[in-house]
Amino acid sequence: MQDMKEKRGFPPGASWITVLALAVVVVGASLMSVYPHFGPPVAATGAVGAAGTAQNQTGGDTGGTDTGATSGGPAAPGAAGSGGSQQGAAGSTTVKQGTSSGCNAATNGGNTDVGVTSNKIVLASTIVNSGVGQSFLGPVQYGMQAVAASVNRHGGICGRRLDLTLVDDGWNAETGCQYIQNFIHDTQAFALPVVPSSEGLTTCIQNGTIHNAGIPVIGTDGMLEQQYDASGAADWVWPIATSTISTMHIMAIDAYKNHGARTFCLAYDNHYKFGQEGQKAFDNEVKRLGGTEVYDQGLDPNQSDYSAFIKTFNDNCSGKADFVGLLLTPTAAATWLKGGAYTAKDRDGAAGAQPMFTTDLGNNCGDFCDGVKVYTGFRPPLTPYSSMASVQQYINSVRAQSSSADLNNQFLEGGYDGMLLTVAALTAASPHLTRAAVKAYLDSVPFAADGNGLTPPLRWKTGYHFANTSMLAYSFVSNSGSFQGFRADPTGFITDPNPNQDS
Amino acid sequence: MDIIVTALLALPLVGAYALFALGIVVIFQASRVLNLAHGGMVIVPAYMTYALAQHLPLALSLIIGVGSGSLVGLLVERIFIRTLRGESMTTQTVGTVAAFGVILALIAKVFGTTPLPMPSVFPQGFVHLGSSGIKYGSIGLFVVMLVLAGGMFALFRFTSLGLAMRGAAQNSRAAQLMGINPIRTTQIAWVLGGALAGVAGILLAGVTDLDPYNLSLQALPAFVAVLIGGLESLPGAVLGALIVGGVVGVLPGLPGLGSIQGAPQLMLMIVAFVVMARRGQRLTAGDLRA
Amino acid sequence: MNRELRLQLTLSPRATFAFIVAAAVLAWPWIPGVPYSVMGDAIVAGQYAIVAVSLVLLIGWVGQISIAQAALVGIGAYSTGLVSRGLNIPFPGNLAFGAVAAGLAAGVLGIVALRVRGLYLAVATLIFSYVSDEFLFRQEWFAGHGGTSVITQPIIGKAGGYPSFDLSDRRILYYVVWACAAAIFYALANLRSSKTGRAFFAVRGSEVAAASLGIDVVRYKLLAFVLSGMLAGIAGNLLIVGQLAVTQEEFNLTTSLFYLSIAVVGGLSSLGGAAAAGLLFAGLQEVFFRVHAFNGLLDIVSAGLLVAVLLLYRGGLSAIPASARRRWQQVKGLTRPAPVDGEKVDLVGTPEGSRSLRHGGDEREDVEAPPDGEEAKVLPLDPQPARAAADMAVGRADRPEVIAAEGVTVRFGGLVANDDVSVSVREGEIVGLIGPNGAGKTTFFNAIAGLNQPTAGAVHIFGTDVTALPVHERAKLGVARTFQAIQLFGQLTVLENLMVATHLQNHTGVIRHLIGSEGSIKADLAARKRVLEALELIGLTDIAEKIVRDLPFGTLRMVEVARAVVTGAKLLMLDEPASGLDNVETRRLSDLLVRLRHELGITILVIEHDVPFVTGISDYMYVLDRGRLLAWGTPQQIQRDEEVVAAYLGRASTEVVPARASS
Repeated sequence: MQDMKEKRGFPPGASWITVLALAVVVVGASLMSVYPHFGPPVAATGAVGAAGTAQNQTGGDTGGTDTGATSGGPAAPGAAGSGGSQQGAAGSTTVKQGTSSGCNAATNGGNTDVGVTSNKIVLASTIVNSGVGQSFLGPVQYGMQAVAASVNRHGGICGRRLDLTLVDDGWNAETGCQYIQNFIHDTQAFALPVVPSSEGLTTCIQNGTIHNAGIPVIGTDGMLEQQYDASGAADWVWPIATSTISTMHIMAIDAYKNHGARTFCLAYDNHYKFGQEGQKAFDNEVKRLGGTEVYDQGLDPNQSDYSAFIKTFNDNCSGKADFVGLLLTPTAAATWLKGGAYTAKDRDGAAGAQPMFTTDLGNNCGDFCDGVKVYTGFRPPLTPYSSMASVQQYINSVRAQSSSADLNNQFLEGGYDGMLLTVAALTAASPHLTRAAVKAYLDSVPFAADGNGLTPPLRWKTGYHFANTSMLAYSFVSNSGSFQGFRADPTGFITDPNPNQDS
Repeated sequence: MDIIVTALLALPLVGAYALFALGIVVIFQASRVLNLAHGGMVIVPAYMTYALAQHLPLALSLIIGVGSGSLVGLLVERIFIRTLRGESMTTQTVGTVAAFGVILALIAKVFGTTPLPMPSVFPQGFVHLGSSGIKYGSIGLFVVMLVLAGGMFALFRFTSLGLAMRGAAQNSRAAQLMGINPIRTTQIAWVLGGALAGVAGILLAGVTDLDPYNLSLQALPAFVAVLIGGLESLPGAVLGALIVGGVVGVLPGLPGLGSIQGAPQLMLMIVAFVVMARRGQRLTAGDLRA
Repeated sequence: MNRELRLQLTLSPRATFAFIVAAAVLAWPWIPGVPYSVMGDAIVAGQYAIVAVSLVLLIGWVGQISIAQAALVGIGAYSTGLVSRGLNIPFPGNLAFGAVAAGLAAGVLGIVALRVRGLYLAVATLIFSYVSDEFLFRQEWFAGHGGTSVITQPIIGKAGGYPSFDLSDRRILYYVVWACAAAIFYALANLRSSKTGRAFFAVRGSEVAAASLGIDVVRYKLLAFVLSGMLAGIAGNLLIVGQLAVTQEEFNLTTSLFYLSIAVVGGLSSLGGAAAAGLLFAGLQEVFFRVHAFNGLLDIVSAGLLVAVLLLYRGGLSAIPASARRRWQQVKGLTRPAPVDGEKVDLVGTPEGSRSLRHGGDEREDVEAPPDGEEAKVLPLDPQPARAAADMAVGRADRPEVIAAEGVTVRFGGLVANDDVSVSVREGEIVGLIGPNGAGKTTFFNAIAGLNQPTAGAVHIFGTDVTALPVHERAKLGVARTFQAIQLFGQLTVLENLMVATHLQNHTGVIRHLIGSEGSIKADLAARKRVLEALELIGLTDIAEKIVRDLPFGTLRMVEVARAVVTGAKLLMLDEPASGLDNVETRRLSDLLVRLRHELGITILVIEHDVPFVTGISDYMYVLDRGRLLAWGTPQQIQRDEEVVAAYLGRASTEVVPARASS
């Protein structure tokens, strides 16, 4: 305990020093709001001028032979934001040079923007290597590293190698956004590719970090609707995967139009956001189509036993629903299916969304999954796409990074494709590589336009980033308790006509 | 009829919770410590069995798996409980919490968090009841629990070992004077507790999933069960498990109330707090430390 | 006062050091080139420190336990979000809401804590955390869509104006967070050495003893929970204000364990330790970010640190300075290694201080030998007091009754421990209650003290019916007691122990304690003066600064009596005070009791085994045997009574002896 004799009452006599110091802090902090401050610099984004006629080009590491496209007309330099330290970059006519044209470290213009030097481009992303998300998001890093390694093997982009930093944030929202902020300020990353750790990314989108920094986030997994808010906080985010909302639309449409389903049931995850978004989308699409939504069952992924829920679900849906939608994490899906939930499999009437497209789930649920469909927005390394050049390249380059990663994991494939998109954008905006140029490119030039990529052609537009709106369906095949693989649905790509509805 | 079916569906939960609760009570009776690391003693045997079953016959894997539960119990007792003996209750409690944290982190790191397919002791398949069914494994879990509960009860009530375990905890010096080795009896209690936890973990994972977080957190409702039944009573533990399992298993099946997220857990908390409130008293002479 | 103020202006070394530290803390963010991530870590360190300190208060000081701190932080964060969005109240206005909401939730836990202790309480907080995660944080109206709560951050003041605070700037946020932390630390430091702080320590040490000193244990436990909750709520508020968005995953059980690790590593009893631990864990975050190999290892490392501190170095970080100082002194040859060091310090402080009290005290140098020389072989059976007793017995019935116990019956299940016992203790006398083992003396004593509820009969103390009155209320009437198993607070000094006893005379409130107001200081000084007076009266002044557990057992008895005297009680009840004392100590004690009766007019009730001791000091005596009153009268009468003698030496158990006054 303190020695009593030294104490003084309040206000404490000796601490007038502290009071003085406090005053200094107050004054100093106020001054800080005038001086350049230690915070997210308010990015000055120049307005994109009227678009010039965009011309097709191929991107990626195969080396373009086309001439570059003229991006939108020169942008007026943005006004300096209050306290911002950056001027908006002047728009420029970017002329793309293929690597064959001799674009190299000596001629690429050096430090054209944050995170760009004459011989490297700094990229950074959070990944999920621990915790609950590791089971389905863990392999994504291999897809990212595969592309980066390949690009660097060919000498980089215009002589700039890709310097890719990956940091595990355990799928934690707080840590994830802090790390992203560190990337922006300390690592001085030019762009953030893929960012599979969606929790942290969503936080950083919602609290304005991404928008204020004006840093491109390219090729994300797009599950949550926040990533598509291109007219608001997510104007610098280009998702490459199909949104959950689109997935559920497609699921309903496929069942209704191609399999004659008229009555629907849904089991969805009521803990993670994707479940709740998807439920609303599904119900609305069914209504739009003219079908009947019989029953929706919310499930907590953290529960081990669904017996009572399954009973209620079966009571309501068994024999009464032509189609059952599953919007669950792989763990929950396995428990649900193995618990005897009704799935209308016999009529091709049960389907799940992308998170369920994993070999692990197939092994785990065995015969219970047999006949259950699952959707993906990418051409998987399976019949009939496995012989395509782009798919072969995916298989080979990822295998070079990891011999055991599950190539069927759609997050992995999305990460790979997202990285390809990043490289395409970087290449197109080089040699005078700026964030504004990357943004201009992504918002105007389609990706995989020749139809031979891992997706159908994708187009983003300013204020509208619903690019990937089509999906394929595969079915689990299992025999005598052992998982055989996936079988393609003959329907091919199904497109969602209302991607930005229900968001 | 419908309610009965729904109630029967809660069998695996009741069985698992009861086994957990029994383990907790056995350990408490012998060691005077509430083992908050029980969740850890549940997942280690389950993962051990899973890993071994890929190379060894299932029966052998099971035995070794359950044994690993006992081993974990012994280790926790030696490293955490005995070292902290004589410290305040708070310190000991924090010690078991620390043990739990370490075990969970290690398992998650080594095996990853992808749910794994657990080999099932009982045959796969359902007993069909109307629109749903009970797995054979669930019934098996419940029956095993009844057998083990009876065994524990008999052990503590009718054998000298049981008596010794209870006595050694109450007054270790007196027990020593009577020729009982208090350390040995404590260790036996932890071995039993660990084995019970192991059996529960293996069987429960067989009917649900092998996942470090979910499985270990199943021990939490067991603490509520123990609270309701009282730390001193083995039959009370089973009764508590019945109540808790019933609430968690049956409530979601009820219309209206069942669709509120987290309603079973909220109900559990209310029940637990009410029980604790009724059990508590004002300060008495019993609060004087000796 | 002016002179003292002037003295303060010349900086003492301690103040200089504090100034340097404060200046460093304030100035370092201005050093050019400080990485952004390090700024972030510094902010996180402050948030960790606040949560850790809330646990120090609850677990370290009051001896409760909570594994739900993250849930409380979450409640604070979400409430702030709710208020910020719904009522448009920006920071710092919304700080109060977060704190209050979390404080209320913690109050609920506190109510549970009233009914259960130790292990059950831990489970209760565990369940609370679980339910918050599964239920409360899923309600959209409270936690937002999908458990994510987002707020916008208006700049305080005018943008670009003066003064203005842009909280999205990490540097400003750093100052804000650490200003909050500093204010909290200051308030808690004040609290610790105030009446409330002492009451907290007393509750942790021995609830029964605390109650007997007039401390309302219920109220203080609730207060501790509420304060701890409010602190957690403040941390939650700072969290959402800093990040502008929070999600449910940040507030689950694993996070609670993480916070517990921080507090334990800090040492769980010291504020400085909590701050240091916050810095340590934030520093670890930085390492995990920078070093690729360590990514994602936070769970294991924090669990490992928790285990390491618990098993190996229980004092935690807060024990390092003391340890280091001792080592340094050893190196310089100043002292020999002391038996008690940081490695063996108990985490929370042994409430069972008596464990060491039983073994302690082989050093007799501290004790003055009684002036009469060493051996008083046998206490004289007819000492001076007996004559006084004869006088006291005359006119006894005319003096006011201090204790009037009528027909007290206490049943435990089928066992009747006290059967229709009626005892009267008059003002200014010493009454002894004796009886063989199992007679029910302690039961009766506890019935009067308030620890047992009589099944029948009534007890009046100072004219008030106390039969249903809780223990701490009896203390307000002027009752004090000692305990057979000494209930002193082992790790505190004698002075500090006795300061607790001034509780009822100190009328300042919690708010003043937190601020450290003049009134609180004055009250403490007055209390200290009182304690020193009491020590002087009893002759224990020279041990005032000694740690209790280092003192011999006999001295501790005297300390307990001194504590009772400090309360100013007019009735002193002693429970087997002579047990464990040798002849010399017994003599000292009896001299003291007689003096207290003569000089301070204190009425004394003693229950005791040691017949010579009791007959030596009592003015009147009662004898209990097998739950019933056997005899009563003056000591001389009792000594001559054949039945009493027979009861002590044993008789056939079937013989029933009617109770009657001894002649």
